[in-house]
Amino acid sequence: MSAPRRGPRPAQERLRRLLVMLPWLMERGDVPVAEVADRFGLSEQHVIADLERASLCGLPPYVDEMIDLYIDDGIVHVGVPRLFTRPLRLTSSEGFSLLAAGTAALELPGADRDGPLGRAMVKLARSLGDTPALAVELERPPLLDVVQHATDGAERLAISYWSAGRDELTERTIAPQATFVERGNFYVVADDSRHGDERTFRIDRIDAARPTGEHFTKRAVTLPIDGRWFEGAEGIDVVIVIPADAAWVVERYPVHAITVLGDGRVEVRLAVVSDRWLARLLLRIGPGAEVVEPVDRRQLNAQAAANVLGRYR
Amino acid sequence: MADPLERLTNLLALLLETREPLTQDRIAAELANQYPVDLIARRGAFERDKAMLRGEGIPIETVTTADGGTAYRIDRRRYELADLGLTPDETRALQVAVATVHLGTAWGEDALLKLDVDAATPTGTAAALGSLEALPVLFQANTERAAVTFGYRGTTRNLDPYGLVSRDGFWYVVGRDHARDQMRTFRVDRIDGTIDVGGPGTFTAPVGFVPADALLSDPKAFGDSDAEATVLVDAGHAARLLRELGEGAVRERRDDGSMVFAVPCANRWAFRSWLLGFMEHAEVLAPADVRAEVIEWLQAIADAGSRT
Repeated sequence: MSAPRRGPRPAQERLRRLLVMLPWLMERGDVPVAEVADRFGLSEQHVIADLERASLCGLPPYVDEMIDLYIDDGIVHVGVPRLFTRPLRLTSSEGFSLLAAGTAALELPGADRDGPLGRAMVKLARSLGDTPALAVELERPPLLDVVQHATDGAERLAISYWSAGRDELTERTIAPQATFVERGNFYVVADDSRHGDERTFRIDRIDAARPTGEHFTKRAVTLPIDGRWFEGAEGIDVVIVIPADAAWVVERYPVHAITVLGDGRVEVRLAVVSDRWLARLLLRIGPGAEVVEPVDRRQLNAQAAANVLGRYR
Repeated sequence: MADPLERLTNLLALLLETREPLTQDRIAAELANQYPVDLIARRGAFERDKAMLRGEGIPIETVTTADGGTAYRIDRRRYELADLGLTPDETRALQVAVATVHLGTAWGEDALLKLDVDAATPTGTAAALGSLEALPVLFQANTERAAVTFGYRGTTRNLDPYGLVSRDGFWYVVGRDHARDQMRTFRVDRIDGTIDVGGPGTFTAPVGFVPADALLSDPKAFGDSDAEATVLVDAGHAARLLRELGEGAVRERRDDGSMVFAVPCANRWAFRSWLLGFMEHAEVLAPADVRAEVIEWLQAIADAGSRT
């Protein structure tokens, strides 16, 4: 549940919670305020304020007993339910989210289309209207099953890994802690023997993986799911100017700051893992890209272009 | 001033309880002293309340009265959440799915609250799928079989949205483009501004339509031809590419371990971007015009650098 927020709460948000809180309370009768607050991600103070306000609502001829509840000694007591006995139907956002989450989960390792989730999705889709057509594709890299098996069994893996940052193939042994998918790519978070610390590897860049038979004790890891990570932590901060039609850079990579310049070009600040990675990005953007900072990288794109051109002569 | 929550709740209750549709005058009279006396202020306040309720997905119906006025009510059967009839294990599976797949919004959690399902601890592989404000709009249009109108790269498109697909981290809407009378695919995050949704039930999706099949599988092949380029890739990168493209794409294996692949290049932009990802480890051999374009592109970058 989301944490209680500060400041005045918009009426619409309060109504949203109230309309789901009331049927839930009516089903249960007497519930401690603390439990209500915890369940709906509100402070106890907000729960009391909104429920007391609701109990004052009324229309003739049910001026007082339309919403029959009172709070006494930290307990919410609910009387005879009249209105709001059922929650509001799912909004399109909620329906979409449930269906998208379930459909995506069916693409994850170990999912069973004919199992409970598959059946729940059929029932949900039926309730949402005229057979919604929604698909989530997650292309599984060939070595996903090997990596997942090792992760589940806490077994070390010997891997050959292509690092995009350094553009080299390396051999290492990893202790895989958890797998995740982001933006269509599968990753594994693992302790890396080469560096002795935690790294995130793209599974489709693992060229070979061999279970070692050696086991380890798993620990809790925080998944870096929010795009704010790059394999290999030592990044450099760069400022580049890109043409307006290269906006895909902003969509694809986590950028720290964006300024639109007078001539329509865009200045972005982003962290890059290596010169090699930056050079690759600059070649893709093309002649309109310029490095502003650091100053000693200003010739990077021209040098990289000359280097690739060497192949064509 | 009265708490806005109280007036909203009373308005909602009134519209749910009423047998006949109510005009704004009747509503103001029933909710005595809750709306402003001034008519213009009252209309403004009522419109805001109505928009807020509709924003929550509450189905307020509009009826034209005998004297040409407007009256409102809510059908309780359309307001209430239908019982999905989920079994305990199905409920549990849905819980885990919402905890495992991150959409970047609280919509999924809100839905679980309505379904009276506790939040769960994620298990197995976690997934992050981006979400966009436009997605629920397109989704609803899809379920209602309603046409949509939106701006896309400077043009206005009218589309029968047959379905939504998430691929490679992007969401696409697939459907029939009215002006072209052909199936078209649009990236949802590239849609400009708001989406207008037409009336329900104006199209039928083709029988057996599968949205994913309608998407071209490779952006390098987007375009009007099935043009291919041959690309020489160094030994260190060839194995990975072979896994991606398959044996059928191989045109030549050289003694030094490097390989020549046939790669779609109908979309020159996507092809070039893909090729340059290899930097000096790959070289396009043919066709000649594609090779010349890549050289020209690189030369322009090298020249721009020497001028500064």
